[in-house]
Amino acid sequence: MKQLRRIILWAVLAAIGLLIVLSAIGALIGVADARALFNSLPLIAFWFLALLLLAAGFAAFRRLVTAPAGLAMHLGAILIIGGAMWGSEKAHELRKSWLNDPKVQSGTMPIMEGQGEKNIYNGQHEVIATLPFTLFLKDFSIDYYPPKEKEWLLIVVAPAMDAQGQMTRHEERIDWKVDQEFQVAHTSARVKILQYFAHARPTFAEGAKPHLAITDAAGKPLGQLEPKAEAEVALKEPAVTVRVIKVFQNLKIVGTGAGHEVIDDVGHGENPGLQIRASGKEGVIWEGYVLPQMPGQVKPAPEASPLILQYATPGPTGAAEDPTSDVPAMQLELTHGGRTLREWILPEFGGLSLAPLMAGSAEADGMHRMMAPELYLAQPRGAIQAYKSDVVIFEDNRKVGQAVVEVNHPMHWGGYSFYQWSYDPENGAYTVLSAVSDSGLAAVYLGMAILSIGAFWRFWGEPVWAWIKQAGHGA
Amino acid sequence: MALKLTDIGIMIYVIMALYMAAAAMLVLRKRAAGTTFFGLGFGVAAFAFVLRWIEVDHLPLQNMFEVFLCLGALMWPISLFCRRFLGVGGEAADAVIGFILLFPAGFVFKAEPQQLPPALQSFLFLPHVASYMLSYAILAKAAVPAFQGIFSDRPAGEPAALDYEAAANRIARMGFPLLTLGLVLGMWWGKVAWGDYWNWDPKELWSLISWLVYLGYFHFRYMFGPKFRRVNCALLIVGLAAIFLTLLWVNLARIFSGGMHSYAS
Repeated sequence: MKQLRRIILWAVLAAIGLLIVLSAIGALIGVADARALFNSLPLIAFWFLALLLLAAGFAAFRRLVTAPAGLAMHLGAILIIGGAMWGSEKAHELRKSWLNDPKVQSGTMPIMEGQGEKNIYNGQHEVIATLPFTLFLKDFSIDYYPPKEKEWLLIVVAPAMDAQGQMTRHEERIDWKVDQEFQVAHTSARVKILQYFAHARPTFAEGAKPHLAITDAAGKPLGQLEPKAEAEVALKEPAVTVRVIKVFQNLKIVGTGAGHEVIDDVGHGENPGLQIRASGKEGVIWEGYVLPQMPGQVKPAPEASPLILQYATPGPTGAAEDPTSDVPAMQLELTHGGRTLREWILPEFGGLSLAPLMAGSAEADGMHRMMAPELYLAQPRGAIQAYKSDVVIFEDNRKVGQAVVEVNHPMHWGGYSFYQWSYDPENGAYTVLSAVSDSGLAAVYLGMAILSIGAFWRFWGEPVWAWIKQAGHGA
Repeated sequence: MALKLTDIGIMIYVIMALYMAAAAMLVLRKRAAGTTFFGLGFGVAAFAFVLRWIEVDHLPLQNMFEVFLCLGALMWPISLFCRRFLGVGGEAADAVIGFILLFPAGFVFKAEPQQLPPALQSFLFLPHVASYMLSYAILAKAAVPAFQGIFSDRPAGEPAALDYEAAANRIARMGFPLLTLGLVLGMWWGKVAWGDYWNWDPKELWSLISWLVYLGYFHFRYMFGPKFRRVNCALLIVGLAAIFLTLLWVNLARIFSGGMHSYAS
């Protein structure tokens, strides 16, 4: 018996030593390879051996059965290893092929807002299991901490060159103060902040209507047009006739190159635009599309300075303080090439394009017109506090449960736990939950509890108990 | 890293200075002065803890700053407990460990409530960290007599004193349940936050290695008792080395493979 105990203890020490070496290797090779290593066939044999050793310990060492602390620690270890093996991917695969158990160990479930999903997918987007219930995503939302900044942020979207030498849009946050002036990156345009109202409402000019404003390059008004098909105005100096061909509510370009088509995609957003034709004495000199953020430039003659066609959509002419409002307003003075404009930015009316300011200048010509810098106000937001998926569970078209799944707050249903895994970073329109099988989990939790309790009882409880008994004898 | 020039911040630096003075005095065998400085340091630490409690109006164990302030204060009672009930000394080392535990409170963690990312918002976060740090402190204390035990059996000229190997064993027995608890709480939290109680993450594996070294130590000592005293002592030193690697792995891991705990930086 003594010999057997000795053999078991040496085997235990060898097993612990081996596990130390394998864990060190696992830490070096990375998570995915370590997982594969510890689930490989030789390691499966090792885990069985570990269980066998623990069981042999109970058989050979009477104290492991009679002393509660030793019993708890070793039983805890058996439950953790056994439960983990029962819940492993291999065990799920075996149960699937032998017992026809459809449960999978884990997978992901992408769910669109307002839609249901009952399939679990693997990393290759293949369905690996179908749940007997449907998870319906009512809403996905992100909560933010209160922002550090009180005032809204002023953002400049300016053209920039990326590492490959391609033009891109670059967003820059301006550290602004009233009366402060700054230069818009990559341009000679200057911006001065004249006023800021933390709570503001827009004000409109009497009878303000959308119109096509025609000016010369210096901004001098030459005429205007109602945005109505067939509307026309004949200018005297220069002698140019400007005509509206078509009015768009939501102008979209479909296709590219010669095959592209300009359509009015009504009902799917707003992008007002006008199709314009300008004619001189000798016929058509220009035809094209004018958008509020993309004015047209018409050269009556090759050497003449251009006419600027600006589509002005109804917008506020200014702002007034209004304590009941929760949006701000900022008034700016824009200067470029001797031209000065005073404009308001109101967040609900979008950004402020510098295209009208820079139109006609050599700088604007050198820059793609779609790339004209833009300024906008953005609401400050703190760091992300929570990702929340509001999920309703349906079984046979009947609502049977509901939960808000968050990081650190999974939902348990039908033998799976569902975790907040990923989300749609662009529009927040979908969430990705991960589904993890609960098989073997109860054993692991129980094992964790009694292993800890056993350790405290063995190393803290027993000496204190002995001391109390001794003190009692002493008295 | 930033200096804290608040009342409690300055108190932390005073405690750190007192702890270092205590360690220096104890090493120079000026026992009375050493224990006085150590006790004074604890007094200031306890006062700072109570002050913090009054300031924030709840038990100040809600963020890392508070946890490390508490751990720094606990070193003196732990030292006293070990002297009284376990019959083991090593106060100089305790004062140094207290100094190290206060360092993060004094220089690293912010005292103000932090905006934690979703993964760290868990009731398991602080118990997990606190049991680990406390166990690390105690097991570091155990490594001191273990180190001395490699070279000699017991303190010279004190035949009645407990030998180094036995002293190290008593302290290790005190630390191991906390090490186990830290590991188990980490597994529980991993399950709640990430869906798996074990992810084969490098930090997890190193914490498992630390635990296994101590597990091996207890089995080896169960087998042979104090017969191979130098091996016992060496295992406790290896255990502390594993703890060091576990703590440093977040930084080292960048060189190798990364992993789930690297967000902690």
